[in-house]
Amino acid sequence: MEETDGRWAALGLRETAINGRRVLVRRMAVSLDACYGRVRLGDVLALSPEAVGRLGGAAQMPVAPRDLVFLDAETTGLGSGAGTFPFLYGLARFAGDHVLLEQFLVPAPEEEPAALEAVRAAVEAAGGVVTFNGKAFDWNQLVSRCVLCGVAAPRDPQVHLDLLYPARRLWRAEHACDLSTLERLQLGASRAGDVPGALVPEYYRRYLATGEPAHLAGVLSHNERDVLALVALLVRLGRLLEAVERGLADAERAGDLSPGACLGLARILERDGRWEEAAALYERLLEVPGYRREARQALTVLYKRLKRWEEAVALWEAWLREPDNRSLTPYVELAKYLEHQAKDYDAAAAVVEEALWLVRQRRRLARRRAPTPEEQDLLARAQRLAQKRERHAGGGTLRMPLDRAQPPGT
Amino acid sequence: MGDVRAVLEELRRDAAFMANVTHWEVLPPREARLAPFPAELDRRLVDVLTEKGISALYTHQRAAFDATRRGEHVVVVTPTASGKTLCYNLPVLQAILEDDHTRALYIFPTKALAYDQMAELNDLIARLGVDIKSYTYDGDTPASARQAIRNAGHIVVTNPDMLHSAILPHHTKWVKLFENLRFVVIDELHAYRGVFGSHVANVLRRLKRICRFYGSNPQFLLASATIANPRQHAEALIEEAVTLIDENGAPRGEKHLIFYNPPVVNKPLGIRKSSVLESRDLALRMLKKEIQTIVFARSRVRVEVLTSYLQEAFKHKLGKKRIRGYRGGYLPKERREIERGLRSGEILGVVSTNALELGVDIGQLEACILSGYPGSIASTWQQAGRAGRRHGTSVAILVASSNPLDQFLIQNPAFFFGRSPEEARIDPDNLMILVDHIKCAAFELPFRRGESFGGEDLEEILAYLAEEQVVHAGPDRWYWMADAFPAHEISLRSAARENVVIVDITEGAKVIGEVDRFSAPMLVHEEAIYIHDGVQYQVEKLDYEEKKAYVRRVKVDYYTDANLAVDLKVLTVDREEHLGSVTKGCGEVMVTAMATLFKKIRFHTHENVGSGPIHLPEEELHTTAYWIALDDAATAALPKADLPFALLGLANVLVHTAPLFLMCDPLDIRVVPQVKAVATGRPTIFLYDRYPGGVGLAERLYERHEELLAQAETLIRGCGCEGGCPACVGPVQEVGPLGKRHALALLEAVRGTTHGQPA
Repeated sequence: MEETDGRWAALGLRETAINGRRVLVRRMAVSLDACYGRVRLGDVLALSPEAVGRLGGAAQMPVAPRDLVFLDAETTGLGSGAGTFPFLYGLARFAGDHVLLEQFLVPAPEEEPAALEAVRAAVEAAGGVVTFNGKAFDWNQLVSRCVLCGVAAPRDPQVHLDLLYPARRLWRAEHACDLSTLERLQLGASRAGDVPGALVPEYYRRYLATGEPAHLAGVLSHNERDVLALVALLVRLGRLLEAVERGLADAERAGDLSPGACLGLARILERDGRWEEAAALYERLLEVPGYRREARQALTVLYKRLKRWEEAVALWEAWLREPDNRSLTPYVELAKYLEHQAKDYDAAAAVVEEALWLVRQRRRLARRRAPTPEEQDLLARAQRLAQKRERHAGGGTLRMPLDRAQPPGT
Repeated sequence: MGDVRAVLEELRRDAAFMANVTHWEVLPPREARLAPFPAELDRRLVDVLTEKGISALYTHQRAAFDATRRGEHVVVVTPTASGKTLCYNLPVLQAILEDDHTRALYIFPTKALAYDQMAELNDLIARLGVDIKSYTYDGDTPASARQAIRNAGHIVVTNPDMLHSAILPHHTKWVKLFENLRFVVIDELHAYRGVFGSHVANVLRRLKRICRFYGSNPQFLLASATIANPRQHAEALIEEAVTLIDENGAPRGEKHLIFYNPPVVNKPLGIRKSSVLESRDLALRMLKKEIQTIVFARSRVRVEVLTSYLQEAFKHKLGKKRIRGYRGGYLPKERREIERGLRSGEILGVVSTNALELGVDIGQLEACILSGYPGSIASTWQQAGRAGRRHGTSVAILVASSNPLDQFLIQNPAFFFGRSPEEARIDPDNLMILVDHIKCAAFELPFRRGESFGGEDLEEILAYLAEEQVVHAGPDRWYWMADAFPAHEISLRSAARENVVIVDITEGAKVIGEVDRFSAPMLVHEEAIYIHDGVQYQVEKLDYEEKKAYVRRVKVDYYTDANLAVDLKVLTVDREEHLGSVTKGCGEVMVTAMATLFKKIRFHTHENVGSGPIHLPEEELHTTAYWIALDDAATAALPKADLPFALLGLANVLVHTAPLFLMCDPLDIRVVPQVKAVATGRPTIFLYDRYPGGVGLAERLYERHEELLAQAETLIRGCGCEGGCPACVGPVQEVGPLGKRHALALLEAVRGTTHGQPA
């Protein structure tokens, strides 16, 4: 076998042949105690399989963090399609007392099958794959390249955690959710001195044009950082989910629980059907400017589901009493509750009446003649209530004096 | 149903009508020629056809089936409503019934046509009661449905643009389709001509290349309206030998084709009665007798004006909904409703642009009125073909407008009847187009050494692309290496397909239609009266950025018509050469079109009752042009007053000649004669490329300047007309009685100096 070119060895790469094709491999052991930004990599192993699973979606089975492989590819273009060519795959997994980082570099386009075989073997051996935007990009690319090169495509992984989605749920209210922003703001990591992602394709083209491996030095370390960032990001996300179970004290002490993250966590919990816990998080946001409206809307829905009627009524009433309220939702919801739960038809009728006053006022201002669908709904409700009142009260008082009899805004 | 014969009798006896008829052609009826179902035809298909009342095939359907079964590529050319779609649906369904893995790709030029064909195909499939999946894959297909279509669709219906930019570049997601692709159906073949057709031919080269990669070798089934060269065109498009089937077996009733020239109403000025009003009156004559009629008008405004007139005339008798307008900007749902109404007979009259000329199924009508010459012989036959039942008499009347081309044709019917429809031409090896698609192809699959793509030297082009670092040359292949998605940078069509949405804000906000962006300044500028299916709206606001026009319902007695000012400026002169008394040049030009003002025109009288300015940005086309600037020496012999006509005549000849050199469609180039051009300071004829940026047509004309002029001279000399006709310098009505002579003189002066021959 030919000796690896010294220039490759200088980059830590060694040539291997698979089925007659060449791939350059770089292996590095990283200590579990190594940090990426503020995050210790080994902390992944402390995450509960449940928390990890929940990051992958509502229906995801628990998965042990030790069985995961982290995958990130560098390509010759940012778009998708058959012509975009991933030339470097970075993978990280846990081996004994360290993180094993492996990089597979395609030395020339015609050698691509070897790298694909190597990556396929690695992902198929793992219990799950972790990527960032890999569901839309990296994984599709991998499969697509296998089709193109006539290599068997890897089986779809049992677990595919694409961290872009939970990251967006948690932080989109606060900042952009591209990897570099997340690293900076959530992991406390700096990419100083790194090759910008947009230039990666250019460096590979330069390498191909000149045959000089040194052009790839920056790209290799860029990819290495990408993969380690994935590990750290999983720690950060998993910890926040776990913090909910431990009553959030840890997270708050660490200053991790910003209102945005709180909202994001609540959404994840709500999606997972953990309504009580979600409600507790939303409640924290009721007094936070900028989050109140969203939290209240979500809470009324949750209270209703949980049949926590008193709290729901209090929220609806507070909502419709707000001077700048334009929404009919609190009226309709309150009326529904009064009619179907409390069976207080008089009070329900009064609420409907008030809502009708509001929509009519609005219609007059818009100079519209025809009643809107929501007005028609309210009218139907009012009619039904009138019948119920007749039946029940046998023609009793027509209208309950309410303390809110005076319509708002007059 | 009305009695067309009675109306024809009445017209014949109407001396006032007959005085304006310049030609009355009667095409005799023809019996159906039938062939039995093929013995191998699946029992289930036989049952379904029988259930639909079909007990045998027309001979052309049978011929197409047999040729397809023999494994040949087939092109079917028969008139509208001759059962053309069955020619490809039958063999495709048969193949799927025989082998469930069979896949077929259907390509239609537009989304609307694809939609229409799906309806028919789905009806057949539903009746079959077999699980055959056919899906439309276009820009409107939701992302959630795409996965299923890629994996499970037996028949995928799409358009060339989608194939080019969404399917081929992502072929690895379509493995099932490409591995099992047996048939590629291309309907409306005649639409793929000129530059657009050249692009599509290259898209098909890419398609075939990808099929080879997946080990399939599909058969092409093509269908076309009548053109002069269907087989040659089909073979140029798919680059395979093709079997032509053009013996129409469908029956035809007796058919009358009448040329009608509106009477002169102002003798001294030679003004004729409006063709719109004459078309209205003729349509009314038909409709009053309950004869189902289609009226073709040349512009969208005319469609709506005519629709309004006819609806108004029948307001009390028929109910408005029995007369409908139909054109590009209507919403799909509304169009389907109109098509259905026409088939069922619920709708008695329809006024349409050429949108209904193509293969949309509206059944067969009894009468057709062409308000103005559609511009080509092929289009005229297509439109006239909308009237023509399989049994019983039908009539088509061509009502000439006052424009010179119409007047020439109507006065020289032999010109029309003696000529075959236009040829379709393409040039898939146009270097700029070819290189564009070589890039796309390299993106899709690496090129192997020794592979070929098109007629030019592929290795040389790839070497050039490698130098540009677009591809990387490996030991035996070229690999795409640029950080780009080439298909997104290459548009198959000249005009962007962006639309302006029309929102009715009379009550709430409701989208009622759309217009393409290029027409928006003309049709939905502020204060324009926008008419939609006979209902008037006034445009309150045109949000050009957001591409929305807000309109409110109004009732006024006028409509609006906008003026378009077109200008051509030379930006750079790339090449220039003095040749005796002319200068030829080529370079970049900017063509601007700006709607400047609009007129308000009263209904029925068509008098001008007001006008207003239009404040909208110019539409710009940045492209390349070739020009001929004439020195004084070249024009010296011409009387000064005749120069504009001579220039126009020469320009018209060049428009006929240039496409032959370029293998393009006359619509791909435009000619602008200027008596004193700013850039040259002299009389100049510009020919520019209608594709944004140009596709090299201008450069090629520059290089073949002398041949072009020689050919132009041959054409004028060889033309049998007296003073000019649409086939040479243009109709006499346009270039004047001396136009032909002057154009020839000009040409001789120009050529004489270039060849050193005496003028």
